[in-house]
Amino acid sequence: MHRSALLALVLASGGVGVALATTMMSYLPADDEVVLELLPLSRDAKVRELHQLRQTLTAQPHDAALAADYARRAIALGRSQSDPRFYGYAAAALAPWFVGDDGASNGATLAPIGDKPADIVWLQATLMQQRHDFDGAMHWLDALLQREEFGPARLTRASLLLVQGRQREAVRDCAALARHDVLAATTCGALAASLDGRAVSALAALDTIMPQLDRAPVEQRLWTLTLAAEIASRLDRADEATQRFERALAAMRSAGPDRDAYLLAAYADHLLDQGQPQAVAALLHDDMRVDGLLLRVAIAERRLQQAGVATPSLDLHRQQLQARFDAVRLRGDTTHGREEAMFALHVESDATRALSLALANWQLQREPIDARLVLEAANAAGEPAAAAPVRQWLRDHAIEDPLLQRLASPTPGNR
Amino acid sequence: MQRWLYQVLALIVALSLFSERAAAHAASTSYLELQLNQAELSGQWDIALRDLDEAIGLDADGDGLLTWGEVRRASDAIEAYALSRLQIDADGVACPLHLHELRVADHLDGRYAALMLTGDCAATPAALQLRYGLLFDIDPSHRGLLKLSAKGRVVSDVMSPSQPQLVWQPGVSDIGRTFRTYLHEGVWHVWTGWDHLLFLAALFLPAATRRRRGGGWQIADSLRAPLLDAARIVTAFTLAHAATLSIAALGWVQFSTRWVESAVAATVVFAALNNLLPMVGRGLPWLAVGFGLIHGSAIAGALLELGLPTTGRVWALLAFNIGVELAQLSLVMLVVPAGYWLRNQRGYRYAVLIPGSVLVLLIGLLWFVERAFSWTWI
Repeated sequence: MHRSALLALVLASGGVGVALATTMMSYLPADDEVVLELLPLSRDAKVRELHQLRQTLTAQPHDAALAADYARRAIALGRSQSDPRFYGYAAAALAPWFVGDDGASNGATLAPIGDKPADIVWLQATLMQQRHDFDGAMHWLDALLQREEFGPARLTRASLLLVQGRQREAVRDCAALARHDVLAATTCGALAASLDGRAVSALAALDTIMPQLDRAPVEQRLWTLTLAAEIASRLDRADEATQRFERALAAMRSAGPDRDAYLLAAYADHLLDQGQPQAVAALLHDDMRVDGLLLRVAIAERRLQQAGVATPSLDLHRQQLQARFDAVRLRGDTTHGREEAMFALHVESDATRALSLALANWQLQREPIDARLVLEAANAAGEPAAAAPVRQWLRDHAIEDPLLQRLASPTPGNR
Repeated sequence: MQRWLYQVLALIVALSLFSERAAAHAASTSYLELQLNQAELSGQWDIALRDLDEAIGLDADGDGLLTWGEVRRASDAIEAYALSRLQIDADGVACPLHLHELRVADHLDGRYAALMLTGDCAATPAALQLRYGLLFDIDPSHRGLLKLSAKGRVVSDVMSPSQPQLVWQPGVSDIGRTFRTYLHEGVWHVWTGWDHLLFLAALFLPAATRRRRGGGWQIADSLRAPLLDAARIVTAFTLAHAATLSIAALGWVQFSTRWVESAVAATVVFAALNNLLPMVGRGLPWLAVGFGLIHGSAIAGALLELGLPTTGRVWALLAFNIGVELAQLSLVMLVVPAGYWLRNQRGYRYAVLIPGSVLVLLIGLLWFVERAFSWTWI
C-alpha cells in the first residue's frame, strides 16, 4: 500500500511526460533487407483468391451470392489454417445483413430473420458458434429452420447441440440432415448415439460408410475417421483407436498440406492417455501456431518432465501459452475456457484454478472432454463434490467411457 | 541469376526462422498506448504488418516476404491509413496526430509496425475523446486495446465496432487532488458537525475527573492514564466508524437516514447522561465501538452526498477517513489535557462538567425528538 501510494504520488507529481513513454517495446531493424513477416496474402493462392474476391465484394457489398461465397471461403481458410483472422474477414462480408451486430449479441439484441438469405444467416450462425456465442448462433439457426429447411443449418445446429451436451436433441437434426447428405447425417447420428449409450453400434454405423468416404470431400472424410477413432478411444479400445487415428492422419496428409487441428488435438489426447507424451511432440512439432496444439505439446513436455526427462522448451511453451491466454482475455474473448482449464490442470498443476475454470467452461461446453476436465480437476483439488453437475449429466446420458465413469465414481482411481 | 538464388535463400532462411518462432495464430488486435502531458500527446500504436498488408498492401514486389525496406518506404501510406482511423479530440477540438517515427515491434502473432505518435492539443484538456475505426471494415472482430495515461492516471479499454469510442476526463480524479479534497472534506465535516463534536466533548469532558458510581469523584493523578483511556476510546470509536463509513460509502449497505440521525442524537444523550449518572465505566471502549458504528453510518451520508470518484474510490475513502480521524484527534488533544489541568478545580466539576453535560443532554434530547418524530420547533 505504501509503495503503491508513493508510486502514485511520484507519477501524479508530473514531469513524467514522454519519459514515462510506453510499456511496449519497439526497435529499428538493422537494414532494409531484413525480412519481417511472411505474408499469407502473397504466399497462398487461396488467400490471394479471397483477397481478389474482396475487391469485387467491396464494389457491390449487398450482393448476397458474392458475400456468401466470400464468407464460405474465408471460413474454410480459418478452419484449414486454424487462423481466426479469416473468421473476421467472413464476418465483414456478412455485416451488411447484420447492421449494428458485431457478434457481441449476448442473444438479446438479435433482429428478426425477415427475408435474409438462408446461406447468409447460416454462415452468421457458424461464425457465432466459432466465437462461442452459442445462444446467438442458436437464435439464427432456429429462425432459419422455422422459415425453411436448409441442410447446412441442420448440421450446424446438431453440432451446436452436441457441443452443449444436448445429444438427445441433436438426433432430430441429424435425422433431418439425411435428406441432404447421407454421410454427414450418419456421422452426425453416430456422434449423438455414441454419447447416449450406443457407442458400439455408432462405431459399426461409421464403418458401414467408410467405403464411400474416398469420394467424399476431405472435411467429411476426416470428420468420420476422427470420430471413429475417438469413439474407439472412449471405449477403451486403445490399439484400435491408435490405428484409426493413424488412418485419419494418413487421409489428412494425402489430401494436401492443410492440417486438421481437431484431429491432431484428439490424437494427441489419445497418445497422452496411452502414456506416450514423446509421440505428441513428434506429431505436433509443426503446429505450435495453434493454441490448442501448443497446449498439447506443453502437456506432453510436462509429463516427460514429471517422468524425469529433460524438457528444455517447456518453460518457453508455458510462457507462450500464458501470454496467448492473456491476450485473448484482454480482447474480451471467451473462446479459450477449455484450453485454459487444461493448462491450469496439466501444465501448471494448479488444481483449484483448474476447477473453477473447468466449471465455468462446463456452463458453455459439455463434451466428454469438458466433463473429464471437471472431474479430474475436482478430484485433484480434493473437492469431488464440486463435480456434481457432471455426475448428473453422466447419469442422464449413459456415456460409455470407462475412464469418465472411473473418475466420477465415489472413490476415484489414481488417474 | 544471383538475385534469384538470393531470393530462394532468403525464403528458406525466413521459413526456418518462422517455424522456430512459431508466431501464434490470433484474432486481429492492435495495441495503442498514449500519454497526455499538458497539451502534448505522445505514444505508440502497434498494428500487425499482416493486417496493414491486408488493408493497404505492403508487399511491393509481391514475393510474400515483407522486408523492412518495403515497410519503411510505405511509411506515408501507413501513416495516412492508420491516422485516418483514429481521432482524438480535446474538449471537442481535434488534436492532430503525426507519425514521428516508424519502428517494429514483436507480438505473439507476428511482427507489428510500431507507429511512434505525437500530437498537440490546443490546451490541457479536461476531457479527451477518442474515436477508433481501424480495420473494422475488413474484420469486425478486430479489437483495439487502448491504454491512455495522463496526470499519473491510466485508463484501459477495448475498442470494438459496437464500442468504438472512449471519453475520458483525466483531471477529475487525479489521485493527489482527490486525496487532498477528501481529506479536507473529512476534517471539515467533523469540525462543522455539531452533533459529532458534542458527542465527543461529552465523551471526553470527564476524562480526568470522573463521577464514581454511587457518588464521589475519581480524579486522575497523572496525564498518562486519562490519555491512554481517551486513546482506547478513540481507537475503538475510529475503527468502528471507519468500518460502517466505508461499507456505506461503497454502497454495500444502505442505512435509513432518519434511523441513523436519531441514533446519533441518542448517543449524544447517553454520553451526557453517563457523565451525570455513571452507567458505564470500564466498558466505555465497547460502548465507543457501538456508537462508532452509528456515527460512521451518519458520516457516510455526507460522503455519499459528496460522491466518490469512479476511479480512486479507495483513495478518496481513505482520505476522508483520515480527515475525520485527524479532526477528532485534534478535539481530544484539546479537551483531555484541559480537563486534566483543571481536574482539581471544583469549578471544573460544577461550572463545566455538570452544566456542560446537562446542556449536551438537553440538546441531544431535542435532536432526538426532532429527528425521530420529524418534529420541527417553532
